[in-house]
Amino acid sequence: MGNFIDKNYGSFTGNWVNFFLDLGKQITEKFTGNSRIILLVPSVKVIPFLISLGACRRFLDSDISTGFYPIQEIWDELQSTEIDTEIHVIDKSYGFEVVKGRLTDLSKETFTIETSSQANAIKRAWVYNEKITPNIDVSIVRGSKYKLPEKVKFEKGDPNLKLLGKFYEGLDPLGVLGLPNNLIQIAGNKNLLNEEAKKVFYSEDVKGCFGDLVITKGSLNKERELTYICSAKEENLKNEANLSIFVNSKYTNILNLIDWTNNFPQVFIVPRTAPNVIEIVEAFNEEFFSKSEQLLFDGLKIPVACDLMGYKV
Amino acid sequence: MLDNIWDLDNVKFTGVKVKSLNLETIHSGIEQLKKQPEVNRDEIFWDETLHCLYSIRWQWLNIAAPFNSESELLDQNIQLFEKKVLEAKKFNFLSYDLMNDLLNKIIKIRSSDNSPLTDELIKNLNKHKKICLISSTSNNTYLKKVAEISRNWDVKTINQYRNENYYDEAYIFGELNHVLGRGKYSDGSDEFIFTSPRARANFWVHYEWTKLSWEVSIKLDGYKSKINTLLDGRELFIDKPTTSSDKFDFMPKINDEKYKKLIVESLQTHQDSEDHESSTTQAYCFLLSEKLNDNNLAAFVSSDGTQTSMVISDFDGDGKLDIWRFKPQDIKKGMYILRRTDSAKRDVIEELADQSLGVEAVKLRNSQKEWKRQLSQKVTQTGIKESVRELQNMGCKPASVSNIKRWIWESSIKTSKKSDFFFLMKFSDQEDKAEEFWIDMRKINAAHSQAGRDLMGLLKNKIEEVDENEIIGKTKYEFSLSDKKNLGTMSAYQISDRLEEVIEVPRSWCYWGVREL
Repeated sequence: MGNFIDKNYGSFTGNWVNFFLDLGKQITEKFTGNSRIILLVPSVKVIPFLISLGACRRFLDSDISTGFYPIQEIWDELQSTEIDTEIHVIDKSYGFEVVKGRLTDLSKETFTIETSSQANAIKRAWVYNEKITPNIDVSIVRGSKYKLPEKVKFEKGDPNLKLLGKFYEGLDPLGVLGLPNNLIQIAGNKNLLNEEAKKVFYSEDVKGCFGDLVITKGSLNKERELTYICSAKEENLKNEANLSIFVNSKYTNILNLIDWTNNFPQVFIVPRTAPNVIEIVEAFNEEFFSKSEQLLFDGLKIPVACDLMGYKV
Repeated sequence: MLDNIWDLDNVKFTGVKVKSLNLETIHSGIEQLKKQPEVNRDEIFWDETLHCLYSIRWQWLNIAAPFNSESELLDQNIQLFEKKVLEAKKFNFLSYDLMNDLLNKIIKIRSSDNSPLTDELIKNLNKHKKICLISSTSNNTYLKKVAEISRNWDVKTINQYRNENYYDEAYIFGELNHVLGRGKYSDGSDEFIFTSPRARANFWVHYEWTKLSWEVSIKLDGYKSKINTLLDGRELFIDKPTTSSDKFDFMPKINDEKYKKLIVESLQTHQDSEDHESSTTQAYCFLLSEKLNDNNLAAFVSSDGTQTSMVISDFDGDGKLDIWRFKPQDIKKGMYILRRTDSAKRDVIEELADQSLGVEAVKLRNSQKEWKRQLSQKVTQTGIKESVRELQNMGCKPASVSNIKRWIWESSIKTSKKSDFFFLMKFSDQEDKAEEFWIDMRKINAAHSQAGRDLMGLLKNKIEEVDENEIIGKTKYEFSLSDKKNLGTMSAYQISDRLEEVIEVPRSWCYWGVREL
């Protein structure tokens, strides 16, 4: 799949990579509620990002958002969209600008979105008719009433289109920009995770990093954070995340998060090398004993080096 | 590298069996002595004799270094055995000849510069390959010298090996059952060396008369791990014993009962003024490698859940010494426990706290003494069990015999909850001063928290200055806490063993100094 410039990471091309992508997809596709997936692995490096990437692929293929479509293709659907729905617009008229906000007005030829709750905030509106076709792609986030921020947030950024195109092949690569913030969260050693998100790799001739693929903070701009990274403390976690990935690594102990739930699947990644691995494994085995349901994984080629257990609490 | 770490299917595990006739003769001699009719481990003489022989054998089994390498612990044990041989001669023990023969062999081997585990091996190592030499003990000075042969070679302790470098070959030396298995001194987390190897080819270098009897123990209950099956088929693991009776445990064991008796004797001898019955606690007893006047030294840590202890080792595996706090049950053999020794009639945290409290310290400490004095009087009048009952009836939920003893003990500060503190005040007829005492105790408590952080800072700075080799391999290491403040001396003691059961000792024993047993 790729090669990191950093030799301590090196290549990630083996079957194990596809396993974690498939796992991310399966978790978000198949499991609901407080499903817990425990992974015992030889190394935690890049695993949360592979799972996130797998999950993002699935989210793009799901009905969370429509994905970005040129205005002429999505116009009919937009016409039947409820007011207050979250709308993302990529405006390519002058560079590349992502605007997101709440749908406030809709007519046969125009639509308007409000981007902040300030009284004098500027609304953005576009006209579409037989004569005028704006150079925009629109994505509608289904079932999401947009919570307006206090300040207007301009989202000018430069997505790594080549990278997105390669890793979201067969899907709408720009669709990932239309997924809501904090859809996925990764909690662990925040510094290490951020460092890893920015670590550059090459996939054939395409250069990029996992942060660009799963849209971590700063990969596009400061406002877009499809995958939220935080330290392993309950108070930092986001309740709205549809997938939470907790990573045990240096100076972190994911047992601090074992009591946290948000009615969406949670993945716990435990390295076999952790000095506190016994304590962690015993805690999850104990929880497994009192599970309400065991989760079954279909068709995954689980690497020999990885143990995988799933249950509902 | 990530691909390598995940490619467990193509990893090799090989056992390298090493011969050492001299050491094997000593091993056989020890086993022969053990079988003599007069040898009975329940007797102190034989208990001590066998324990020091087991300790000598244990050290040589594990250290990948010449027999004559510097080791205080080894020399201590040899000297002790020499004394035992002289005693055996004096009292005409039937086993004297056997013991004397063993001693001669031990002395001879001690002067040898042979290093059977490494000598042959090193000659054949490829200088161009990335190789890691892993020591199952913290003493790896010799291996470090060996590794200077090639810049591609590394030396690590098992803990340091947790980091994610990947090697062409890794060699781990010594008797691994104690490292891999779960027991009093190992939680089993080191099994990653085989379940999550960091090298393409992994070699276990050991004496041919030692075997590995281990299987994967860290498992998720909801998954049938493929690692067991994978490892079972590998050459290294084929040789494992089929029944538990085949296992030979080389780990030196102590006679707990003997040490319990010594502690009781020490309790009777050292009736310090503060060590009255009301300030006792159940505690773990850590036996230290350091001896004083040929007597054992021990450090105690309370098991009541309120105490942690500062311990030194390279815990995070980055090659530098760390100082971390541990619950007593997590403190293991080989770690260094920190104790204040010089000026040691008081916990250093109390002293630091008083320094930050300044002129107010005397008044606040008097408050602390005062409410405890009255509480103690009341408990004595009422009886401790009745006191528990009365306090419980009043609503003081944490009231228990051990907690009341702890509250009375002069170094404790306050209850966690204000309401419980007020119940204590009401019970001991000090309601009118409850608010004042509570405020004073909160001040002391805050000063203690700050002192704890200051102390950790001071210690971290000190430990960072110390070269790992200055401590590792020694039985004791002393350093002064501060060049500016007179905070006395701290000593890091190597832990040689821990008694299986907790034992009741004066609470003051758990906080400073070490006890001579």
